[in-house]
Formats: sequence, C-alpha cells, structure tokens
Amino acid sequence: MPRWGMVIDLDRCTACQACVVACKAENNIPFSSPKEAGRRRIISWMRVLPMMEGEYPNLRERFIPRPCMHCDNPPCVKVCPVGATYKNKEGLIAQVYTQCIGCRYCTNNCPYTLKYFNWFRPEWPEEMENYLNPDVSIRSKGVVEKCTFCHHRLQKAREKARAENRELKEEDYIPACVQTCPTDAIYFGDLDDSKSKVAQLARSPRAFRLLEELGTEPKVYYLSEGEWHG
Amino acid sequence: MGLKRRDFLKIIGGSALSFSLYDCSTKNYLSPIREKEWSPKVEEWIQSVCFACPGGCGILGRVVDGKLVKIEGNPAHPINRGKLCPVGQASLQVLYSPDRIKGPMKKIGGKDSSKWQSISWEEAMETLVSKLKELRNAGDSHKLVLLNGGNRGILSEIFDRFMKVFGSPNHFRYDFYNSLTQAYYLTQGIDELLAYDFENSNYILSFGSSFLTSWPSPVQSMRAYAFLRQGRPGKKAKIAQIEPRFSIAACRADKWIPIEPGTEGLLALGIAYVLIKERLYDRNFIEKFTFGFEDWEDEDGNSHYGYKNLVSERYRLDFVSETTGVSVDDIVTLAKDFAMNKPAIAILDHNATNYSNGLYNALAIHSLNALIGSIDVPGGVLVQRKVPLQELPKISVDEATKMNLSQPAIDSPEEGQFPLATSTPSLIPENILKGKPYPVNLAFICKANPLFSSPNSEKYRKAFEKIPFIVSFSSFMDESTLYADLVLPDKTYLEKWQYAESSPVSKTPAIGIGKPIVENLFNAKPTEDVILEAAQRMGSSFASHFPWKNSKDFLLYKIDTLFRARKGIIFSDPFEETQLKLLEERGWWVPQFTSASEFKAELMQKGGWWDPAYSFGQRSFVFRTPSRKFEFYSQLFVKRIEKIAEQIGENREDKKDVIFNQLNFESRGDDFFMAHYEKPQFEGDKKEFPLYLYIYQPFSLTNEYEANQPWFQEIMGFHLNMNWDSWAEINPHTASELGIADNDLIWIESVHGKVRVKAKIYSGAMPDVVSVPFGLGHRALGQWAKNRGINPIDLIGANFDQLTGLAMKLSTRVKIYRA
Repeated sequence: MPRWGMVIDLDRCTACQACVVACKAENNIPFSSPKEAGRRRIISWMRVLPMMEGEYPNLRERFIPRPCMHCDNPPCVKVCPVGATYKNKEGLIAQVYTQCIGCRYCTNNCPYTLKYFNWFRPEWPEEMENYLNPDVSIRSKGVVEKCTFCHHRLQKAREKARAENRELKEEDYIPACVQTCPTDAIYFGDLDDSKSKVAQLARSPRAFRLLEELGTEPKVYYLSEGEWHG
Repeated sequence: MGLKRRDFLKIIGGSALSFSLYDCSTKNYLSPIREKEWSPKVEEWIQSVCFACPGGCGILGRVVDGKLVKIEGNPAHPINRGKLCPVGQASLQVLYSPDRIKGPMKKIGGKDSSKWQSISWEEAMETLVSKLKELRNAGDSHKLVLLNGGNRGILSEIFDRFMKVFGSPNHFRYDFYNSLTQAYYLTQGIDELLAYDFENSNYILSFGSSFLTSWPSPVQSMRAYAFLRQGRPGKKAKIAQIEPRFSIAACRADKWIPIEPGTEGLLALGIAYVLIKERLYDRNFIEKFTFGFEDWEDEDGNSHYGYKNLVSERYRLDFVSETTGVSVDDIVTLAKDFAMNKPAIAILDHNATNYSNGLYNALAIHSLNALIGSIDVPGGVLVQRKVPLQELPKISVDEATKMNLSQPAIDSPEEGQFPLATSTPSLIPENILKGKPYPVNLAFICKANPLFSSPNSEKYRKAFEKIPFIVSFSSFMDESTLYADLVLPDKTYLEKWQYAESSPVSKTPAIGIGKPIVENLFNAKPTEDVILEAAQRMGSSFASHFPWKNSKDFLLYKIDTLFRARKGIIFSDPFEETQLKLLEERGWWVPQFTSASEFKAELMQKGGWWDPAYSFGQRSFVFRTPSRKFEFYSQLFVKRIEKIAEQIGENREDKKDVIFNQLNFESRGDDFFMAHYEKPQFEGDKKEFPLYLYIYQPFSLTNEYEANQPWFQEIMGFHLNMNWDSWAEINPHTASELGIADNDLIWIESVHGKVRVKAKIYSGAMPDVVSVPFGLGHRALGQWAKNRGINPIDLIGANFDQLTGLAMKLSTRVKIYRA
C-alpha cells in the first residue's frame, strides 16, 4: 500500500496562490461573502500562511502553503464521536460528510487549524454551477470538510489503471495544487517507496514538518530555504 | 470477535463515498444544487491559449458534457510547461460570471439614462454599420476613435487594419511599459520590451520590478525563479530587490533594499560609480559595443562629455546614499555582487518609471547592463526574434481616406510637448473636451476601462458624455461601458479562435493556437467576427481588404508562413526540442513535414509552434542605433529633439530651448541625452502631505476582471489577512506616531481628494510610504466588484511623464489620519 505524502519546497514557492485557486476550482469549494469572511468563515483547503520575522528594514518573510497534513497520528480522528473522520489504509485522512454531525470537535483539535466547518449553505449563481466539478460532491451546511489530497483523482487513476490492466503508477495520481504549481514547489507521491522523489526529499537535511513536537506525524514535509553563498 | 464500530462505519461509508461522492449518488440527498437530469459524463480536454495576461500560456480545458469545469496548463507549451498561475486558473469565474452581458443592447432614453434594451445581432450590426457609413460618407472617418486596452493577437490586427481602411488615425492602446520601451529604444534602437535570460543568470538586481507577480509573463518568470533557487545544484542565483515596499519579489529575494520612491535611477548611478571607480566594468564590451562611455568628439570637432566622467564626477556615494536612503555599504555590496557574479542582469518594470524622471530611471538602470556587458550574452538581456507570421496584404485606399488617415490623432500633444511620446492616450479626454484638433463623433471601447484606471477619470466621463455615439465591446458592464450607446458583448478568450504569441520578455518566440473550449454560452459574439462582418457590410472596396470569413480563417492565414520559415518546431517532446535547438544553433534545420497541409494539421493538433534556438552575436539586430552599438549617449534622442525643434520654427538652437523649458528638468547639455539623475517631482507639499503614496498591483488584481471574481476577493490580501476590501499598508512607527492602530479606518488625503480605507500595520512599509493596492473600488463591473474597497487612482491627478506623456501613478504625496 502506498503511503501518500507531500513535500513543499519553500525555496521555490513564490506565494502566487495558484494552488489555492486550483484547489477551490477542483473541489467545488464555495466562496464566501464579505460578511462570512468577516467572521473568518472562508473555506480554503489550501492556504498560504505568511510568516514575517524581524523588524523594518531587516525582514524575512516565509510563505507556507498548507493543505491538510494527513497526519499519521491524527488528532482530529481521535475526537470524532461518530467516526466521520478516519485514517484509511493509504494513510489519507478521510471525511465522511454524510456521517458528520457538525460537532466541530475535530476542527478544534486540529493543531494546524486546517479543518473547515460549513457555516453557510454553499451556493453558486446559476451560471457558475456550470463549472462545478462533477467528480466532487457538494457539502451541505453544518458539516466539516478539508483537503482530501484530491482523493477523487486517485479513484479515477485507479479505475483507469484497472481498465488498462496495469498497476497504478505514482505519476497517475496528482492533486490539483501539485499539477498547477508554476514553480514545481509541491511534490507528491508515495513516502514508503524509497525511490520516489518525495521519499528522497523528505530525508533531505532541509526537510521539516510543522509542529513536529506534537507527535502528530504529518505527511506534509517542508523544505526550508538555504542561505545564498556565492 | 465482533465488528468494531469504526470498521462498521468504514463499510457503510466506503472510501468512494467518503471523499467524492460521484455525481449520480449525490444529487438526491447531499447536493444543495438544484436537480438536473442525470446524464452520462462525457469528458474531453480541449487545447487553447490563455489571454488573461500577455504571457500567452498554453492551456487545456477539461470539458464535461459541454461545460468547462477546470483549466490546466498545457504540458506541451514551452512557456508554461503544464503549469498555470491563479489568474489562468480562475478564468472559470470570468467565463461563467453571472455579470456577463448576455447579448447586444442599446441604450434607450438618451445619454444620461441607464436603461438598456436587448436587441438582436442583426439590429446591432445595422446600427453599427449605419453609424460607420454615416461618418465615412460625410468625409469624417478620422473622427472615429478606438480605445483598445491591450488587445493582442487576432483582434488587435483586425482592429488595426479596420481603422486604416476606414481612414482613422485614432487607434489607441494603453501601455504601462512605455517609459521602459523608450529607454530600450534610445539605447538600443528597439521599440519594445527586451527579454531577460533569467535561467542562465547568477545575479538579479531588480529595481522594483514585480517579476513574480504582475509581470508580462509571470508563469515563465516564476519557473525561472524556481530554477535559479533549486534547479541548478550547487549554483544558486542571488536576487536583490530594491523597492519602497516589501513586495512578494522583495520577500523572495535574498536582500530587500528599501529606497525613497523615485530615486531608483540614482541608486543605479551610484552602483555605476562603484563599478567605474573600482574598474569592475567590462572593458572589452564597453570598447567594442558601446558609444559615449569615454569623452568623445563629434564630426564638427565639438567635444562631448562621456558617461564615465558624468558618473564619476556627479554621483559620489555620500550624495547617492543621502538621497536614496540606501547606506553606502549596501551600495558597494550591490555593485560588487552585481559585477562579480556574472552573468548578472539589472531588471525593472513600470514601478521604477512611474515618476516624472521615469525615463531617466530606466536609462540609468539599463545602462548597468551595458556596463558589465550583459547584453546579448547568456544570462543577460536578449532580444526576441518574432514568430514569422504572415503579413497582411497591402492596403490601398482612396485619396479621401488617405487624407483622413494623415490627420493628426486626437491624442496629439502641444507643439514640443512630450518629445518622446509615440502616443499619449492620457491627453485624449482633454482634447475631446476641447474639440481639438477636431471633434470626435464615434468611439469604440474594447477591453479598455479608462473611467476606472485613468487618473483623469472625471475628464474621461465628461468626454464620454460629449461623444455623440459610443460602442462598447466589453463582456461586462464596467464603468466605461455605462456611457456606451450600443453594447456588442465580446466572448471571453475561452470561447474564441485565437493565437497568442509569447510576450517579448520571453527569449524564445512561441505561438499557441486556441480553439473555442465552450460554445453557445450567452448571446455574445467574438468582436473579431463582428468587425469582419462590419467590414463586409461597408461596401465592396472596403470588404476586399478583409478576405477572411471569420477569425478562424484569419488565424489560418496568419500561420501559413510558419511552414516555410525554415526554423522552429511544432510543440513536441523535450527530446526533439533539444535536438532541434542544438542543430539550429549550429546552423542546421531539418524539416519535419513534406507538405504545408500536413504541417498545418499537426500544428492545429499539437497547439502551437516555437523556436527554441537563440542566435547570439547578431549585432545589427541587437543594436539598431546609428552607431550600431549600445549608446550611453543616445543619438536617437538627439535626433528626436532636433526633429521636433525643426517642426516648431526656424531658429533651431532657440527652439530647442523651447522644448527644454517645457520639460522642467535641470539638465540642458549632453547629460540630457544620457542616463542621469533628475529630482522626481511629487504633487503635494511635503509639509502638508508628508507621505508618499505607493500604488501597487497584487497578483490577484492584475487584470480588469479579477475584482469581480470571488476567489480573488478571498485571497488578494493574504499577507495581511485582508479580504473583500481595500487596505493601506503603514509602517508601525509611523502608525504609532499618528495614533493609528491595526484595522482602524483612516483617511488618505491628497490634493486631489481623499479615500477612507482600513489601515494595516505592516513592517514591510517604509516609514514615509503608504502603500495601497490597485484594482478595487469599482463603481460598476459586477456584483462582487461594485462598491467594494477604494480606488487609489482617485487620489492622483493627471500628471504626465514630461518626456513620454505617460501618466505617473506614483508621483503623489498624501497625509493620513484616523477617520
């Protein structure tokens, strides 16, 4: 079984947010209104977190694109009273929308704050319903959602591989953010396959994970920027 | 052992159901979307090109049952290689925007009314053609004006031809980069943007250029950036960003150097000073390929000042440091890094030229490239060879049309004003109001929205009210279209036949072919086809100039020459491309196809053509100046001034002074024609208005539609956690001095007006600069853009670059106080 994971090279990222928009388009994420946004209810499975250090004029800013970390030891799963969120065999953290009762225990327990509650009914003007992705369901008000690593793409890739009577290859399955990233800053693949790019990068001396000390074992790795030496 | 509760849930949830309930299973109980008939999903991928910016990326549209549900980059396209920026991704929200104009409309109830009536395309075409005929029959064809907001490709060519055959000299394009292209023209004789060979560079000295955001080809420059950072093991390029704001480019650079607005050119001269004093410049290049570096004598025996002496006498580092606010240490480090990490490039864009001294800033910065010999070398400044498209047939028009064509355009400046201007669209409203040089009877607006983006928008409004009939081809009811009498809505680029050439900032020429991805959405028509049809209806001699049935026909005509170009390759796999590049650079070329029809079929199928090879050392192509060298002392500039002086009157020397006097510059002598420092002029007294207003464009607000795309409203201010509203970035010290806290509402006031906006305390703001994003504050356009945020353009007046006539957006001082 593959163990899907992601490596994001912060040295390549330019914070253009193509991943953010691609994710919104791919996953039928409803857009907010100024009112809902004012209450911090924007849903964005992929978010770029700016982190500024220093004082004017000696500043350093880091941009951290954050999808669901798909932790190997997921705190959100432990608190779900109805099993609506669980870790599947490939290590992906699933969210069963029909099962979710909207208690938001998981959103509160996620140390990365990457689970989102549907505070408002997702609605699109009639014309915009045309662009909705038929592969991804629309969530209803009152349930929690989050990044799925574009799991529907995995399903399609599997079906295709099966139809072609072959094994699934790593490159068959690419999440939307990875596909669009102009700087190739995001890598995706099987962390358990020692030959894969992600497994190699995850072992790089530049690699780190967010809030590693909590023991959540996230499957999203980051590569820090190195200093320039001429 | 019984079934565990969790296992049970897994079974009933099922992994398929858990994430992505397939369409058929969701409609009934999950989806709040209204019921539609279920149909088997037919998926296809359609190839096209992106027109959301000038980059010209290749795209693939994922179409399911005739609906476009996702846009991805086309992996075969050499500009973006399968990648796409957020603007391209979000074009879905333009295509399917509920605010699009659904069909042709005419205004009823006179100019001031806001009532519209839907009409048929037949009626619309008849109205359009009758207005055109009326004008032409009266012999007034020059009184037609076309305001063209940066259209490219087919539409731009058809419009251009239409105006020429019709007999109007009034085809205007809005071009931000004018001061920069002028600098290239004066030094190298090239009248367009030059390409930067980022990938092979080791050091990038960026003077305020937004090369990671609102750049002419952002995906390409972002890819180059990533390559410089992590693409060449052991060889990482260094980037220094010099800008009055801690922008994205500054965040991603190795070093950010805050600089007093408008003094970018002076810093470049300071760097030149170090290069000259320390003898770090490229002596070989200077000797062979430049003119005017050392003092020189002209044919009449007059001696002239050289760039070397000009710089070393005038720009001592203490003066430069004091004026720019950059420490002497930093200047020396920048200069040394720049000269000792070759190949290096000094780059800039409109951010460094939006001042009264903008052209001189550009000259000073570009001169640095010549100093270290970074022109026409790998990793330096290059000149793109154009895609060899077929020229349009020659136009032969009657005498009356020729007469009208030779009329002065309505953007004509006063005698001697704006000596370097090729076109000064900023003068249009004033001239229309004055009826100068003649009144305007008919105006076309296409993708231009001067009522939103021009500093003299109030004048534009009055001018629009004065024009008897205005036709807008906009897809949205924007500020300018509100003043139209007839609206013929254009289709979006996703619904048209198109070709997109790569922007001139790309070193390799490429052309992508676009097919309509979606058809039959709304009752809109491609403006290309509308103009071609209008031409057909204008009578047989007029129509004979337009032998193309529609835009697709025109496209096929244009690409006809590619087969015979004897260079380049249809998009293919990287191996073949590399092979061809190697051959071509050694003077070989192997044809892939035996017949033109075979070639064309493959071209249409693969989606484009490009030429990966770059030929270095074609001197007369790179330096098109009188000396065939890079000119520190611009002889083209001298010629231009002399020519204008001649037009003014008889006594030449004296008349030159007329020009100089108008210019409000300090220099009069040789230095006038060289890079040097002129003090930037700001509007507003320093005592009353202590802060500089710095207007910038976030990536999420770079084109005209983005403010009306909810996705961008959510992400545009991510670095300050702002969304759905404008903000002003203020330095923490300045804010505490003024008693302003984060999220306070403040007034920003200039001599021209004031706006109320949310204050954001930002360490990346200089103490005397307040930065405001441009792109919000629409009064029309659509439901998400209208009355949201503020338009900083309201704060600035109509100030023009004295030489190029370009509006200067950064030349205003403001004060801020709590609202």
